[in-house]
Amino acid sequence: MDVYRLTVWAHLFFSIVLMGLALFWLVMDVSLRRRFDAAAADGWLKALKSARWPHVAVPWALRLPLPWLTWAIIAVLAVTGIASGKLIGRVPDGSLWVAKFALLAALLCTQAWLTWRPSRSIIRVNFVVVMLTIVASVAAVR
Amino acid sequence: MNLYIVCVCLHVAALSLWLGHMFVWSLITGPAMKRMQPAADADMLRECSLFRGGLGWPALAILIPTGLYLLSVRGIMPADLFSGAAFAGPQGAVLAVKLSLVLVMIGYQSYFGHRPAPVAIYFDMAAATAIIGASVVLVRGWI
Repeated sequence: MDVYRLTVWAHLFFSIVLMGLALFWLVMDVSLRRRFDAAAADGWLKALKSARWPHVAVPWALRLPLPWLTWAIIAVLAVTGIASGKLIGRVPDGSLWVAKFALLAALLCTQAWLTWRPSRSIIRVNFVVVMLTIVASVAAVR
Repeated sequence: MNLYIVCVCLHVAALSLWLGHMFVWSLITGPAMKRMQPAADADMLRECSLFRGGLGWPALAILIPTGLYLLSVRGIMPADLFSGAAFAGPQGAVLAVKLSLVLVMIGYQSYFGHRPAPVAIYFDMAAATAIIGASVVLVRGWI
């Protein structure tokens, strides 16, 4: 694989990880609300924010809390997305491409809210926005 | 949107959910929650995170028909897969690698399902990562 295809691969891989993280928050929200009342579930979601990655090999202070790990992945996606566009020398255009960037802006907002205070509504909106962003990206480059 | 775009979107969406679930649970959130304190809270949260199990079979139920359709758009019919005609040339070789790895993942899914597989899961994730690479080469072509 050349550099272009490697950046496309990395972009796709980290998009999948981003989807997995959005799914994780959704699963935790649904599961906690089946077990606890709303206030307790919100409390557990807040506690979950403190889980850090990686869990080994790195000093505690350098481990990223889960929401900040998501920001790191978004940063990698931005770099690989821009790099692949530059390497191929063109970027797609059209309404789906505009929709992708509108969804990307929405994703940044939902992620900021999720970092600040995870709640039932924002977790659901975040999941839908991540999914739609991926779908719009796929459709835009075809 | 035509049927082709719908199938590509469904294929990528199913792939993202299945592999995203596998990567995130195995590499990120599972280990991260292990180190939360107190340990009883960590155990309860990990148990909550596993209440739905994995997404392998539902994802495969979407990936296989959409994948076969996407191959047919490229002129590759199921009969070509069985006869080996689909695997001629460099792109055919990449397709052969991809489909072999898909079979490996289906084997993993059939044998382990959602049971813990501390070593095998890493081979499964390596296969998934290679499938993504093969897919990029198939869609974007060689250099």
